[in-house]
Amino acid sequence: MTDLDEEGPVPKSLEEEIKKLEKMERAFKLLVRLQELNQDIVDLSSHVDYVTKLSRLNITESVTKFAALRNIASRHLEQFLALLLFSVDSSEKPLEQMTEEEMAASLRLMVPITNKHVPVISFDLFKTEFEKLEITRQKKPLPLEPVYAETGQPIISESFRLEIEKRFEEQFRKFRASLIGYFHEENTVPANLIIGQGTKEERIGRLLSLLYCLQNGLLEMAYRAGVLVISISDDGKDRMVQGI
Amino acid sequence: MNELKKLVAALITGDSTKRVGATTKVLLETLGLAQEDHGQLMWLLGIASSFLNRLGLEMKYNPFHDTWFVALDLSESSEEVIAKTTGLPTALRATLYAIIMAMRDSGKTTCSVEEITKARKKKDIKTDLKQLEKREMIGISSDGTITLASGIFYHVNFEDLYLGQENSQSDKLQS
Repeated sequence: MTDLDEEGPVPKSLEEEIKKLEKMERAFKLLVRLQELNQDIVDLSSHVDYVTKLSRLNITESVTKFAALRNIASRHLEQFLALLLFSVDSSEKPLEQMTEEEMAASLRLMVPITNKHVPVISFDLFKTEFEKLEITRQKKPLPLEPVYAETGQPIISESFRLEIEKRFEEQFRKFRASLIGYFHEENTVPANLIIGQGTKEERIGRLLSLLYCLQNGLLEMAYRAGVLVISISDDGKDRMVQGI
Repeated sequence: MNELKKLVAALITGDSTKRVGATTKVLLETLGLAQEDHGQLMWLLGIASSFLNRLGLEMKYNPFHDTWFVALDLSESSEEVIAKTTGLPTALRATLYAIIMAMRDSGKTTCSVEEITKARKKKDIKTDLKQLEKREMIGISSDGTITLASGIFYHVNFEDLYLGQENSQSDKLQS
């Protein structure tokens, strides 16, 4: 008996591969049904990959699938609707055997929020920690301030850097670890984990650490990590970097 | 105002021509981005979405109208809360579900009033259908043919409907 003949649990990677193939099969079946439905259907084979991805649809994680969605929907409304309908999983029970409550429970709804539905929504929720810190700094200025180069990039003096490290060593270490983690795992670091929580001193510490990172050419990294946003003037022309 | 604030404000308040959300074009204009910066907009929508999720909200997309909008996440809500919040009673939800499933099972994007009457085991389904039509979720032609209306994508979470069985299967596996 060889190793291959031995029975045992299916390796996780194989299990995942099987699931992937099942999804592919389902996707192809969908396409066949679509082609039967409408002779004028365009070649949707280029969207097969999209269809398989549909099962993992998560709005927050991918951008390309939305481009695909939009393209299909805008060019072929009927086909898109069919694709969507055929993608819907059926219940274990035939429709005729379901009770009213079971049918209702199977339909997942959402309520769009508009200024009509929610007349008062506090944008203070999105008030940035940076703005709060700016107010704090105006009341009680820090002993050392960063200066800015002509390019607008902050230049932090050695003495300022040492002051940051001395006062906020722990926060600095955590912040750096977060950013390194971001690049290593390709995850977005939630901005409020870096600056938004904790005491005033802790938050200032994180902000100063951020400035230090900027000085070291890590602006893009911080932006991609969600630590920075772009502030835009009302006419949409002027833009500046802002911490959150 | 920073770009995330602008983005969320546009998604909630919409523009003068739309009742719900904002189109991709409007969002690009709001942020002062060019058409080529589409990827940047998508990335910002992702960041905004992660913020909104913490507040119990969801970023959604209606592909028919190329419109992005914010919606309440009702996935963990009870039946009573869903009925109250959406204003869609159990009977109407059941009828809407029957319509979607009837289309799915027949392989067509239409169905008849008779089919739904049979599936719902009700003598008179017309009141339900009128109510759904009034809410712009379905359309009914003079010959009794039912179609889905594009407004349905603002109300029915098709992604969850698609993932429903898959999720329940993985739940079973985990348990």
